[in-house]
Order: sequence, then structure tokens, then C-alpha cells
Amino acid sequence: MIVSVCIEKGGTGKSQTAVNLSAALVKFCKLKVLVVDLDPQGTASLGFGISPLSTNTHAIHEVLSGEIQPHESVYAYNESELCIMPARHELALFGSQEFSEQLAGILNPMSQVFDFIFIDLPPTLGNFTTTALSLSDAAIIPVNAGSSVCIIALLSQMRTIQSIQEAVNSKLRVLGILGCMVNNTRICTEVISWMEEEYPELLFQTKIRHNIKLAESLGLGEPIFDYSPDSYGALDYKSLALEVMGRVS
Amino acid sequence: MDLLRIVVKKRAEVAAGTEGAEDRESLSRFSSRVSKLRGEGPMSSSAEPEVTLEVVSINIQDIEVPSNYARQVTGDVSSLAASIKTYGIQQPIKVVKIKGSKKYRLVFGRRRLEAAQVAGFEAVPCIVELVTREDRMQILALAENMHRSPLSPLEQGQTFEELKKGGVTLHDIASNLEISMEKIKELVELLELPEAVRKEVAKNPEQFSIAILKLLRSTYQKSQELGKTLFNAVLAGNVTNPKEAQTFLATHK
Repeated sequence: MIVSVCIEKGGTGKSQTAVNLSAALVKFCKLKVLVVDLDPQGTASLGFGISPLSTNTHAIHEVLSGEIQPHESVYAYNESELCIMPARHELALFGSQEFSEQLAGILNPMSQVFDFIFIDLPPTLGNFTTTALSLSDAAIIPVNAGSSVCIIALLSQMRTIQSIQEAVNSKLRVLGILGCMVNNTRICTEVISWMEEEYPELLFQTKIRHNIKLAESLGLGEPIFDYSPDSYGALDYKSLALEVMGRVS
Repeated sequence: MDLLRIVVKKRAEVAAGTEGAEDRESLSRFSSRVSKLRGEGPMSSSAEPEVTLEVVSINIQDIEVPSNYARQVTGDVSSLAASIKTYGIQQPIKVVKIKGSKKYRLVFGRRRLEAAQVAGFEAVPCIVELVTREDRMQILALAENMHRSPLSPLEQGQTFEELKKGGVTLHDIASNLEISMEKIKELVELLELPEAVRKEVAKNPEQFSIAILKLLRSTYQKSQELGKTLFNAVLAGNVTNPKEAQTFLATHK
């Protein structure tokens, strides 16, 4: 199953979710998961310890431009069933050119090997977002519950998904809306209650609480289950993984 | 890039259709939720850090005293003025920005403001209140003033009455100020005294204790005539406490 992690706003928990949800699915559900970093910022790559500033690894732009084969840019995290296809700034060039076929050339063979492919996307409506969504089975939308601006981004993302469903990809569905960075402020309560009312089916029961360990782990290149397995962050992403499994089966 | 073009065009169609209207409704439901938070500044309990209060110097001419300000009588401010002249204003007063104007409205600190004026100051140190909800502000002003030279019973009653009119419940007032509901009711009831009496009381607040005022109210309700007689006796200094008032009433039936 190919799942895009997307919302047209930055800093809401996209990369954090791509990294830690995949790690949880591998660890607790014994699945094979690939994270495809399709954001030139390379935050998800960083979450697995691959710096987007280093050139030690092959990155996705090399696959898209046909220089190397897809499997040459797939890196296993800690020799586990959790893999990453990293991104660097060169990927930005594909923001202004059609690359559906090339991306399909990665996703099709990989979906034979992996149970889940998560695509981490940039925080804007653009070529990366539309191309990934046109090739995905589902989307997960992480919302920063502490931000009232995120509501607009969520509505905007829902429209984009609907447009893509109608225009090019009728199999695309929203797997779930995920409340992230949840704390006990009044604004968070209002954002969450609003989402509960507006999207009762789509909102995940699991909420990712605001947790400093999550913020630390992403920059330090370790999924939360390695960095701080007893943290709230680890607990929340574990229960998210179980909820996701419930929804796809 | 064709795909992006298609999606952008499609989104415009979506926006023009029923989904556009649904989104607008959805958004307005969100706005009405968030608007509840308006005015819930750093005082409300939240995990957010408190905003540091900055003291700013504001021109006295730019500060307006609202007509419903709790302390109507400032009394003699000359000694405070003298102290301010020597030491300056030790404690900033609190003001709130008037929307759409360069002026400020006083929340509390009327005596300091007047004393500063008497002392010849042009500006005073102020803290600009971030809370702008009307009822919250009156409670703030009251909370500050209750513990200063006491407000007269009628001033207190008047303020409670206004809070009530603004939709604040007696229960809220009582719990915010830690006084009993009975006491608040008692003070509000004093407003039933004739206006002329209330005006006179405001001029000489120390002559009229709560007990005397209560007695005056009940007497007025029984008989305007008798109320007036008792009021004049208190004003003249012939009746100074409830006991004397009872005796006075017994002899004037």
C-alpha cells in the first residue's frame, strides 16, 4: 500500500509521522516498510540518520533521472525491514518537470517488496504533492493541533485530494487525519473538537501528544523507539500503527 | 507540469461547487469555537508561558477614566501626590488600549493617576492589559480596588450590578473575589435606595455603614416619609450606629 503523508503547511508532523509510524509498523506489526523522501529538504532522511547535506548515499533524484536503479537508493535502517530512499536538494529540480512515469518506476517494483510505502511530501501544493498523490492508494494528513492556521491547510489538502480523485486517481482515499503536537491548551482542545465534529470517520482516535523526545529524535536520526522507547511519543506512534492496521485490514 | 495544472484547475471547480460552501460553513464553525478564546489572555490556565508584562510610560492626557469605574470618589490625594513627587510612582497603573484610537482606558489606579496629575507629572508608568473582555476587566479593577482603601458599599453594589448586567453570574463574582453570595446580594440591594440618598451617601461614605444603609433601605420600603426622617438624622450625626437607628425608629413610628 502506497501512502502519501501530506498537508499544505510546514511543521505539522509529516516527517515525524512518516519516520515513526513506519518504524512502529516494522517493530510491532512485523511488516516491511519503505519511506520514500520526496521533499528536497530531506527531513525524513534525516530522521533515519541520513543527512540531506551529505553525499555519502545515493538519493532519489538519481533514480528519477535514470542514473541508477531504484534498489540502489534503498537503505535499510539498522539492518531491519525498515528502509529509506533519501532525498537531497537536487530533488528540487523535479518540482518543475513531469515525473509521474519515473516515480511510478520506483513505486511499482517497490510495492511488490514492501507492505507499506510512505511518501513524505513538501508542505506545499506543487508537482511533488500532485505526482505522489496521483500514484498513492491513500493519504495521511497530520495536523498541528496547536495551530488554528492548520485548519485552512487541512481544508486545502482535502480539496487537493478530492481534485486528484476526480481527475486522475479514483482509488485514492484519506486513510486518516492525525492530530499532532497535542497539548492541554485551549486552542488544541478547540482544534481537536472541531476535527472530531467535521471528520468523525477520518480523525484517528490516537493523538500524537506534544513530546520533546519526538523533536529531539528526528534531528538526531533515530526513530523514537530507538531514541526513547518509554516516551509518550513512542507510545502514541505505537497505538497509531495499531489503528492504521485496523483501518487497512 | 500538466498534472499540476489539471489539479489546480480542478480545485477551482471544487471551490466553486457545493464543497466550497461546505468548507465555508466548516470554517465558520471553527471560527466560532476559536472566538470563545478571545480575551482569554495569559490569565487563563494553559501550558503557554505567561507573557512578560512590560511597563510603558503613557501620557496622562491619553488615559481616560471610564464612567463606570468602580472608585467614584478618590478622596484627598495630596499626601499620595507628595509621595509621588518625591519617590515617583512605585507601582504602575493598569490600562487597556482603546480599539481604533491612540488612547488608553484606565483599568485600575485612579488615585495614583490623579495624584500624578496633582504632582505635575506628564506621564505615568503603565502596564497595558492584554485581556480585553469587558467583564474580565471589571473584575480585575475590582479585585485590585477591593483590597485598597475600601470601596464604599454603594460603589461595590454598583459594580456588582454592572457585572450582572454584563452577564457575569453572582456565583462567578463571589468565587472570583472570595466573598459570599449573600454579601453581594445585600450590596446590590442597597441600590434600591432613592437616588438622592445615594448621591448624598457618596459624598459622605464614612457616615453610612452597611448596617445603616440596610436599615435605611428597609425603612424607605416601608415608608418614604420615615426613611427620609431617618436619613436626615444620620446625615445630621444624630444617629451613628444601628442601635441608635432602631431606637430612633421606635420613637418616630
